[in-house]
Amino acid sequence: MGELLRLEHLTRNFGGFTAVSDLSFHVDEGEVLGLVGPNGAGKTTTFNLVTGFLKPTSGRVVFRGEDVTGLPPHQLARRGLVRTFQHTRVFAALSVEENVRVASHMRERGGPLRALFGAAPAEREALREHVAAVLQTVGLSGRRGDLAGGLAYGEQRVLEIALALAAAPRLLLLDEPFAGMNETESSRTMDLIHAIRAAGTTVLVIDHHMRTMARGCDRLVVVDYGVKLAEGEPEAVTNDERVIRAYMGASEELRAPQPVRGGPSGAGVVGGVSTPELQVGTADVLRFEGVSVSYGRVRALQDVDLRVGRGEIVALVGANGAGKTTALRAVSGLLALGSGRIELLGRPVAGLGPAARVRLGLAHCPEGREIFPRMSVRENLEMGVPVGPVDETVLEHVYELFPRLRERTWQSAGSLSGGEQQMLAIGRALMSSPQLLLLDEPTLGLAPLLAREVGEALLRLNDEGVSVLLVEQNAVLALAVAHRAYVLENGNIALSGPAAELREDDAIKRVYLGA
Amino acid sequence: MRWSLVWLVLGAAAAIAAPHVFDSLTARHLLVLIAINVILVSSLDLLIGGAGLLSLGHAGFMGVGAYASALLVKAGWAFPLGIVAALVAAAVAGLVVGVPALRLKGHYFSVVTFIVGIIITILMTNMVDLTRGPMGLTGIPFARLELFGWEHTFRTIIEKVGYYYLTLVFVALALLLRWRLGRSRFGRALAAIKGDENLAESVGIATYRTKVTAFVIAAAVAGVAGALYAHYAVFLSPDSFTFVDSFDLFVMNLLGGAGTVLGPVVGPTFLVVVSSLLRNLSPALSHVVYGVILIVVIVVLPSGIVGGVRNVAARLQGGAGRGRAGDAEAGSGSGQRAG
Repeated sequence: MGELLRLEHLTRNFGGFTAVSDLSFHVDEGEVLGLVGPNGAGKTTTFNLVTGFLKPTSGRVVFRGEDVTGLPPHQLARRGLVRTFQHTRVFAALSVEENVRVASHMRERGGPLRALFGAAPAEREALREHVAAVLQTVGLSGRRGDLAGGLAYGEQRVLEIALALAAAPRLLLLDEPFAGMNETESSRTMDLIHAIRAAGTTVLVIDHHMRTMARGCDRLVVVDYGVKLAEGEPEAVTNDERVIRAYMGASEELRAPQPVRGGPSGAGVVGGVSTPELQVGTADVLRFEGVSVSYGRVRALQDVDLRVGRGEIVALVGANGAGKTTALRAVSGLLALGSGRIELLGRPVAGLGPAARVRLGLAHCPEGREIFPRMSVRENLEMGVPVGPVDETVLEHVYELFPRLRERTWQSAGSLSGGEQQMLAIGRALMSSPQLLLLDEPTLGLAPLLAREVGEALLRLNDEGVSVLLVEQNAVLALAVAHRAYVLENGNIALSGPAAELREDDAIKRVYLGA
Repeated sequence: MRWSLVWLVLGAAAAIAAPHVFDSLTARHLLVLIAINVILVSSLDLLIGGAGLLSLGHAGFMGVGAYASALLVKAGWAFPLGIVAALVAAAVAGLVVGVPALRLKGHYFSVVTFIVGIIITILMTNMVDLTRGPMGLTGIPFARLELFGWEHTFRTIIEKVGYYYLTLVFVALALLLRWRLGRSRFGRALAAIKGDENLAESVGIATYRTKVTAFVIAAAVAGVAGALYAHYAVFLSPDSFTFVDSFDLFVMNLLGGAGTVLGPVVGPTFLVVVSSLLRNLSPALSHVVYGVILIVVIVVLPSGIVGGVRNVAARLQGGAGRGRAGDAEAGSGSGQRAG
């Protein structure tokens, strides 16, 4: 068994940000190699570098002894290096069979004569057999006449693998094949991967689903911040201290949140501006009762009960795809509920649009630091005021909370660092003097020091009476700052309780690492 | 398969009988125009229906072909050679435009083709020495064919039926070409590009080269249509190849049904007939009513007349199994490259 693919000191910068840094590893012929790492670790960038969708800043990609660095994707495909995509890509408007036929492009012979007069019957028959064999392998023969866009999500993902197989790869690269799959679907897909390997194709698969990957791959390479952390047998890798830290997040000694002041008396106060009193008798600012949400046929949340008390920081933790972001979007009215009800600040929100919910006292700070890059810091903050003039005292208060923003008032937001952009996004959410702040992955992609700064700001904010529902992959940080936490797994609440207790619970490690 | 054969025979019979059923000079004139437009739209459909490339400058390539043939035949070349010259000239123009324009994607590509269409019109207007500019090119010879001693000159001012049949031959060739290409490996590669360009690239399709090839073929066919127009009207001016004409072709394609076999026939027929009826009815109101009809058809039949009829037929047969292509396309995400 020789070496099929080798990455040599691969580096890729985006502006000032290094997504992949001096990364080297190899794939042996006939193995299933897993490339794992938390969200934002640089896995997909690595994939794009290997498959020609991105050119490396430096370093080489060697495939079967040939330097293929920088070749366009279709030429790599012709050499036997074929990939799938993270977000399902199939030809939605074509039938399943047509999809595989199209993907068999390299098996077919072309030329103007064949185009005008058709291919010879023997050639057409060979193509038909090839398509049938591929559909047989992945188990989609029964759906060959159906429109790909109408397939269930899981079937589309399988079809995507079929498209890659139709191109007859030597090395198949799968980008997050388990994303959005439940346990059964994941293990069935892993079986398919093993069947593909048994048929002679080497497989490189990336995913952050450590549990499935550790079970199914021969070897694992772990990356974080674009750097290789560990490489080797799954067992050794999952017990590596650095890997555990990368997955669970580092704890940088944050103080505990102040105990919640009881009673409905404490109305939200931000920057000396009081927000409307709660209706008497409700201590919860947010309440989920049996909430379910689906995307098409994918169940994202299933019968979830959850509450955020006044003055509480509640963390919602769990692996990627567990349904955390969906929960936030349901609160802010960006998604329709399948069933169940949500109460916000003592009022049922059914029928209220996102803007109406903001006026009730809700602010949502979405994942990915959505700021207006061409506007100045101050203009960005002003955008956070839904109606009416900008209240200077609130602005002043945001600057007190994030002194870095005051220093950069007139700088364009696009030129801020990642951490500063995150502070700006939170600051903007605070401009409406919310009573409940929804925060989605505020520390994603931030260096530990900046993550800690965001955590501290959160605590100060909470001291002033703002309730927070915090979604985080960095479980250690989230559990350090929160009063209580819920652990989501595949759309269900797997665990809940006081954050301090959950931190000590081994079960949470299982959710993240499957250890 | 047997049914489509029946339709083919019926369609051909109707096309052959048409100038004798509608035997006024005006009707026959419209028939020739429809036939030329069918050639244009079937070539445009290779881009729009075949590859999802919204090209908005197609009339420009028609113009290149028209002037090429008109000038060369005027200079003494035989009419068939004029057709070949039109094909080559438009193909070269297609290559010159396609190579840079197809580096761009989506709306950017459309905007560039739109501008190129305008530039071609401006060139025709300003190259007065060659084209006589806005004065128009007159004295273009009638088409003259010599075959095995048989010889005929198509004096289209008074006698339209012969030229109509000549054009019909090219219509058949253009439709046959579009149909064959759609069912070839090349056509499947175009369908893949239309569906998802990154995915197409990842299964080994050289997307850029495939798109340039399609663009050149479409331009070449449009050039032939231009030559046929030149020797029919025997007068050319830049006004016949403006961006408005390009847009009309675009509308005919969508209206008939992009990506369908019959769409390029139905679209031009419908539009030419309707707009001429409206002009007879009331010249003042014709543009307004025309616009309203377009909006209604596009709202009611988003996949064109042929697509709409097909959906109705499928529903009548109780076959709700195949959803509309448009619905399904919403699911496929657009390219997200950076990790």
